[in-house]
Amino acid sequence: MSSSMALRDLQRDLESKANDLAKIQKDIAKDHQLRKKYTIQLGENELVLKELDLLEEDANVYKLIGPVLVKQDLAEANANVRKRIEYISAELKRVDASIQDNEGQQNSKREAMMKLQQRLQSIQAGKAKA
Amino acid sequence: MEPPQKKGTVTPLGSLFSEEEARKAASYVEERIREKREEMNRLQQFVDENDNLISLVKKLPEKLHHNVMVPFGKKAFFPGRLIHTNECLVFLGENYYTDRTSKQTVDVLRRRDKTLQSQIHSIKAEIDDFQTEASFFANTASEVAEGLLEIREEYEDEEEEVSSATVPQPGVKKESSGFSGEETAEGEVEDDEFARIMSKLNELEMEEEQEDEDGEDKSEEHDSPVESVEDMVKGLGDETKTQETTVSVLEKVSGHSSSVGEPRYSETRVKAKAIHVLPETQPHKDTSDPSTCIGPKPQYIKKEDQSRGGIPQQNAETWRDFQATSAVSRVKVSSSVVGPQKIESIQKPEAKFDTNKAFTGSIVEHTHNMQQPSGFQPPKPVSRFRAQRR
Repeated sequence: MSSSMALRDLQRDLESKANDLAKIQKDIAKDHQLRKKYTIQLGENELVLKELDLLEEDANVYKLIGPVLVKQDLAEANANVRKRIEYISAELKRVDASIQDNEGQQNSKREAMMKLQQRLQSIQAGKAKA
Repeated sequence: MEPPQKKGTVTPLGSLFSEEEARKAASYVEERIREKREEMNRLQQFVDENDNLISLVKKLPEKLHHNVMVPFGKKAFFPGRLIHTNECLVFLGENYYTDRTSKQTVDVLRRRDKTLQSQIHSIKAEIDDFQTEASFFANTASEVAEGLLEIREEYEDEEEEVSSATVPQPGVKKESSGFSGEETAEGEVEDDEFARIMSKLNELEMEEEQEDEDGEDKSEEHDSPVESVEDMVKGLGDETKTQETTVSVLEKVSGHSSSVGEPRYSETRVKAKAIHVLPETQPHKDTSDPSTCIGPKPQYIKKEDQSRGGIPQQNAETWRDFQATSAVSRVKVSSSVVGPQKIESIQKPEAKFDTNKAFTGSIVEHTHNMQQPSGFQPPKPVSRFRAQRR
């Protein structure tokens, strides 16, 4: 009786762990996508920065905001792009850290699950014998 | 002759990777390659568009104005005129635009082209990478399907095996060839002698076996070798004969008794036994004389033969006994023997004893290394000692 209870507990435990694992994996996938997006943006921003650096002082620079082109100061645009790059790099770092973190969690969860499964199996085997 | 010598491992490749897995991996990599190809194609398209744009922008300022159809909404066009042909509003990315002249625009576009090219380049490298990977997986899969075996041997082990197993056989061949030459030269008288020696050897072998069964009585054992040596020496008296015996012994050992007469078969078995024991016992003893490796070897082997079946604990005793006996044999041999080889073999034991005494107490672990050098020379020295022993 008690063994069957334990068995049920274990199974419930295993299920919840599996759910956690699935969640973590989803997070990881999301982070990866985010990371990809940020890397692309970073590349684009760097290109822009390069071009802006090549522009002469009196060049007209516009920023498309919604449907309108707003004229901007070159220096301002330059500063904006730099800030943007900084922000993106910080984001990239953050995402990387979160990916690593999640992967660590994933591994530990996986191990825990393996152990649980083994215990379940051994209990079941014991039951079968008994 | 020494089947248990195997130190390597033989694993069917199939047990490491199932064919299915390998195929799966290969197909996965193929998939990746396809993705990368698509990406590359996309980039290539960009490059083409860029080229077109460059040529267009180059052409624009050639005229003051162009008549064009201006798109109006999604479907409609109306005729229009393109003026300010030298002015472009260039999109830089990130919603930034800037006014540029045609020439400057072309420069921008050229730079863009460069980055695109470098991207394509890196993707190409990736594809190459994946392709080699894919071909590797495919190969593995097919190899698994063919039932390929992976054979692994440690380097040292290999050498050992060579020394103990394979080398002796070549040695046999050489010696036997040499022997046959000598035989023909010396005529058939020798055949008789040879037969006699063989029978004697047979006898000795039998004796030895008995002794083994009795539980090793060392003094007896040692005596017999001495006597046998003496006999041999008397009977043969020269190198040829020792070589002959060697040959027979070796042949027995290696299991080719083709060129040797029947009597040896029985011996063969005995010999084989003795040799089997060698590898196991040798390690303990060999360790003691790394420095004296060559000379002593024969001695060692002999020793092992005698103590074959012997227990490691007995080694020390045996050694002492052995020293005594060998001293005796030395005397006898030296009195009766003329051949240079004999002297050699005698001297070797001597040297060995000293080292022996010095080292008996210490048992070193890396025996294999020691054995290699010793094992390598053996074809001759061993046989010599063997001959001597009988």
